[in-house]
Amino acid sequence: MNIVACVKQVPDTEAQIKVKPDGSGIDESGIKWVMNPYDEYGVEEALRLKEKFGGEVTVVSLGPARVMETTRTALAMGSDKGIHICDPALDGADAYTTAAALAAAIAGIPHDIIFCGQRAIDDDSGQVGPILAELLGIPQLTVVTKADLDVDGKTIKAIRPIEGAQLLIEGTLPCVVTAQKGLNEPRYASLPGIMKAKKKPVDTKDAAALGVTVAVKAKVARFIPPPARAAGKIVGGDDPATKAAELARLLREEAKVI
Amino acid sequence: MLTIAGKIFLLLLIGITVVAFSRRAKFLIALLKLGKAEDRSDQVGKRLKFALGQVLPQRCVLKHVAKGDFAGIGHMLLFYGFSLFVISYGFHIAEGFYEKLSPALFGRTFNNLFFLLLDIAGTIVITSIVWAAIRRYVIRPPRLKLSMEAGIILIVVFSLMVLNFLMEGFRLLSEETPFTAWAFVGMALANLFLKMGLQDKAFVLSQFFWWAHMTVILGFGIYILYSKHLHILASHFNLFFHSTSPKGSLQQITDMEEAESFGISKITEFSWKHLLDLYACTECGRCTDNCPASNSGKRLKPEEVIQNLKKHLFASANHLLAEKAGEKQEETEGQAMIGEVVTEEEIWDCTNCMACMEICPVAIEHVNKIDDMRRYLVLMESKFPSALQTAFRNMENNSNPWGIGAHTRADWAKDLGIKTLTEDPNVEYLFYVGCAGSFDDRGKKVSVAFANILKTAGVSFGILGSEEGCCGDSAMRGGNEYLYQIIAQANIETMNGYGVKKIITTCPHGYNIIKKDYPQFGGKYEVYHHTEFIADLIDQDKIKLKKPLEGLFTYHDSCFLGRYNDIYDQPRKILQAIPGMKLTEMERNHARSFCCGAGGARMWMEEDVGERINDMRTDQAIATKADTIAVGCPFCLTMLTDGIKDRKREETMTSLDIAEIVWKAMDM
Ligand code: SF4
Ligand code: SF4
Repeated sequence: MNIVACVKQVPDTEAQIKVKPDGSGIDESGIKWVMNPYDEYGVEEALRLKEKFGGEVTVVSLGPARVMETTRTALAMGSDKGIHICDPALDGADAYTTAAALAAAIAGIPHDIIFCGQRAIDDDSGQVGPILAELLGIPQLTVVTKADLDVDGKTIKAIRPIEGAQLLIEGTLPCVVTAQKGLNEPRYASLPGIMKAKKKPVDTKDAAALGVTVAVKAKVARFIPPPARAAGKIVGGDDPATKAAELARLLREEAKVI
Repeated sequence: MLTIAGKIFLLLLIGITVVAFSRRAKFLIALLKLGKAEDRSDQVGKRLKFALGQVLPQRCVLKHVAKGDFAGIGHMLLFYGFSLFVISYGFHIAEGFYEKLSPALFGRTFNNLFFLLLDIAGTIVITSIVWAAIRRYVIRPPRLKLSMEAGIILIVVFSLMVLNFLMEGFRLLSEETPFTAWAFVGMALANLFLKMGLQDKAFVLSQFFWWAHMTVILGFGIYILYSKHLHILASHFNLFFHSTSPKGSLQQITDMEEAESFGISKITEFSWKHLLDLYACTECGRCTDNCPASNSGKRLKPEEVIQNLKKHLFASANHLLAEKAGEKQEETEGQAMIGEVVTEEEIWDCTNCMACMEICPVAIEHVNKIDDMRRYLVLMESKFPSALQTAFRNMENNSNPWGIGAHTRADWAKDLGIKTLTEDPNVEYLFYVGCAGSFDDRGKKVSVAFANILKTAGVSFGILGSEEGCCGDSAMRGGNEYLYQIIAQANIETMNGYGVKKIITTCPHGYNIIKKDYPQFGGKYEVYHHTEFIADLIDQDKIKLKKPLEGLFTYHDSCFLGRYNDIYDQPRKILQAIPGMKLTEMERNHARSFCCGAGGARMWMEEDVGERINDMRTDQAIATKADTIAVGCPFCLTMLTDGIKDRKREETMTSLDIAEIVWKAMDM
């Protein structure tokens, strides 16, 4: 089975995000980069499928040179080879362009099932997986917490939780599956895995090599940091009754919430 | 002297013994050689001194007598008594071949004294055996399991003593000039036999008992090597080959890039010394008796780990030896060492507290074995408690097991005016704060208190700020040597970059690892724990403890400060220097202190089997009626604070770090 897992590199959830003074992006200095957690579920699921059905897992990533590290992480977990789409022209690419680049890379290799995270924790757009499926013209099963492949490896049943219920979605391969938390418990790379990953093949390609024309459809106009949280206020007063009265007054007159 | 026939027969007996003994010895040595090479031949003088220092004064078993371990006294009596007998057997054999080679050779007085002592020893040994038998079979301390072999040895030694007395009695009766008059038991028996009218048969009977006890002793010589009493011989070697590396340090994994496998999953991957450990174990049960995991109802019992490994080694011996000899083997599915001989649960239950190693009379190294198996599970199999995975990830991404943003590491020091080494690299000391001191709310208070003390004392110090990294203790002890090495090397690079020479830590885990394990990567520093440092400040009058502190205090020895680093006195000295200090000890203190449950990366794992170790330790503190548990470790502080909450004692009891107590007493 030919399995593809798309991975994105994102800042660690705990990293301190500073917006550049001109609002054109974030200041990347001192940021610890990690694999997007939802993509990790995708990689794990890909590896489990490989263990069950045999075959190969190819990791596809997009971004500057630093993204190689994340690609290697997926290889250390057990993926077999990588394609790294690296082109300055694609920096800051929107969901459509990203998906188009991924689609071009994936179209060039055999693919039975493609895993993406349901969204990336940095821009939260959640569009790349679905657009990728559209561009490849294959079905998509999105935001799934369970993905069962039939023994014949031709059809898939997936569970997608929705408000108060869950959907059982069936589809045929090839297809795109976007992973939601709960799909699995991603493994921790073994040391031999880490060592071997250093020698696994990763194909670095630019937009031209993939035949992708960069046509950005949506652009982030400006990054604006959330307003700094104002210091809290301790309501004074001698007894609970005065305190409560003061609190009510403040809520009404200052915070204007009641 | 024996007749010609007697001599031939004795030679035959000795011959059989020597052959049987050496065959077995060869086998045992061949088994040891299946283990990996490890150099333990350095510092011969020091090793000899240690081994003799343990064996001759019987320190190995007597070291905890004061703490109620009285079995050691029995062992000591048996040991001295039996050693004397071994000498006497030497004389017996020599005398058999040439009459003059008897104790009398060294003069009458020596002769008399020798037999007097022998009779005293015999009496003591018989008494000790009766005591041992009563203890084992009637009182039955829980740590001893009833075993066939233990019964056999008691019977053998007992019968040796009896046979010896009978022989002595009849011999004294049969000789015209008795060989000694000082052997009081022998003399008494001779008189008894005389009264019983056995004088005619005295010679024959003395000969009979002589042969009987010769046969038993030679047989026993063989039996030793085939039974658990292997320890009688192996323990001496084990003490000689004891580890001389810094107490509690783990051997680093080298050539990480090239090696094919990491950690240990097969018995032959242990070094020969770790296999010798298995021979040396006396099954005394002291380790399990002192193990916090065993005591709290977890699955780990260190004695069983050692014994099961030993059984496993013997069970797979033939297969392994043949395999080594290059003989083709049928694929026999032996037991898997990890999983079947030692379970994963046992491996993860260990807090690395070292209580087992501290108490073990024969210097067995349990922790290193367990951690090496952890390494296999983590590095090769990625099999470990999932909570630990979170801690590993956190250490990878934010260089602290809590997973709090690395950039907030120095936030605790924001308003204290403490310089980082970038601001002033010329300070004398680096205060290595560590993760608990930087990220844990309770730990941060300790950092502040200690920094205040340093400032008041006018100590020239700085911190690394956000350049500081996790010390790596939880990674290393959690079996993740790869992560540990990355972390350690980054820290060493930073510290060496600033030319750091002296380091103070408030966490014993950081203290221990920087002091003992970082040197393996070229990080060589003078390291102080803050209790050592504060004790010095008090001695040098640099700080004044003026405010009397109310209430009763008890000090909890953390494993990594006490057992790992022998720092017992400084924290107590500090407390005693506080005016009005009332200090009491928990029942288990100093080297026998009971773990808080957080070591060995257990801090990050769930504790869902048996009782919680921290609650047990808290109960021990509650039993002293103390109001404050003083500690010198942020992990212990967390665990005991939780214990106090679990026991609903928040109103009446607190746990404080020594630095916090001192800062209070300084009353600034
Ligand atoms: S180190 Fe402590 S927890 Fe581990 S086996 Fe020894 S006594 Fe038990
Ligand atoms: S390992 Fe040491 S302490 Fe434990 S049973 Fe064996 S000899 Fe006794």
